[in-house]
Amino acid sequence: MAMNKLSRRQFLGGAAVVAGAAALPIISSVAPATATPATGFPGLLTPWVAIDATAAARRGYEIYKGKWGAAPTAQSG
Amino acid sequence: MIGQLALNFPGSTWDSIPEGSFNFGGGGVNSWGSICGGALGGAAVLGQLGATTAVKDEYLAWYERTALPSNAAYLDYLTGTWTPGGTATGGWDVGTTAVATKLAIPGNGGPQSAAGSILCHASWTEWFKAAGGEAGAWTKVTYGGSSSLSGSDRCGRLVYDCVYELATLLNQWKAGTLPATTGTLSASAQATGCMNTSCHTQSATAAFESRGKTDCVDSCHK
Repeated sequence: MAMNKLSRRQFLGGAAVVAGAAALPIISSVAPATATPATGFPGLLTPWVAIDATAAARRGYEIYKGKWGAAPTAQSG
Repeated sequence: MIGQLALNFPGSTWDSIPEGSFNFGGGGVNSWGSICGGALGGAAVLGQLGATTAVKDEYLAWYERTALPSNAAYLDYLTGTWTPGGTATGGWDVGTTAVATKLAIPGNGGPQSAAGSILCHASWTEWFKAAGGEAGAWTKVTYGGSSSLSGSDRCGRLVYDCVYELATLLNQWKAGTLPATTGTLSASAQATGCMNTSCHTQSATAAFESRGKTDCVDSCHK
């Protein structure tokens, strides 16, 4: 089977770098958390500041290629 | 995407998400070939932002049914406005052997495939077939990836496409300018049919026999 020639890692599908375009150079300390356990996570972000799709896509590509720190499941292959 | 959200909304909780939090999704979760990290990560972000089911379905269905990867990453490279970031201090790398300080140039053109699934295993396999299998030029290690290269070209460009689509969808949703067709890209008619009548029963009194929205036949249940 063709797949024998590919390492398992080559079943890569784009990684979670989509979300992990978390290319934060610094993990900044957040001020007193604004989200409570009940409301959870990021909460509403208003007014919305449009995402730069190109910048985000570039970042995603770079992260996938391992340029923003070693990932536990590095995309090697 | 998380990085962009952190930049746009400093001080928000997006600012505190560790880099690489979702890298576990690589290769369909630690290379197990399950849901593609591109699909998973996008759905995670959409979910945390409170996106509706229709919006999330739109994204996942786009992934399932769109011929990918596009040539967008390469065309972006050609603009000359993309300066590699992170550890790619040496700029772009034209070689076939990865250089740690350079960023591999996205491939130009090449085969595309519609995954017919949101699973990494199926997504990759369909692409591999479209690329000509073992004999295909694009399945050679130069593009298909190997243990010596930092990720496959195909998957890197797929990530580019996924993030771009995600950002576009997010912006449209937030601006109230989603296409009128949003929400129509939900479960394929085939999948709906399989779940309701042709393959699985849906008793009025019992739990669902099976669940799913992704295409059943084209990718797996042939």
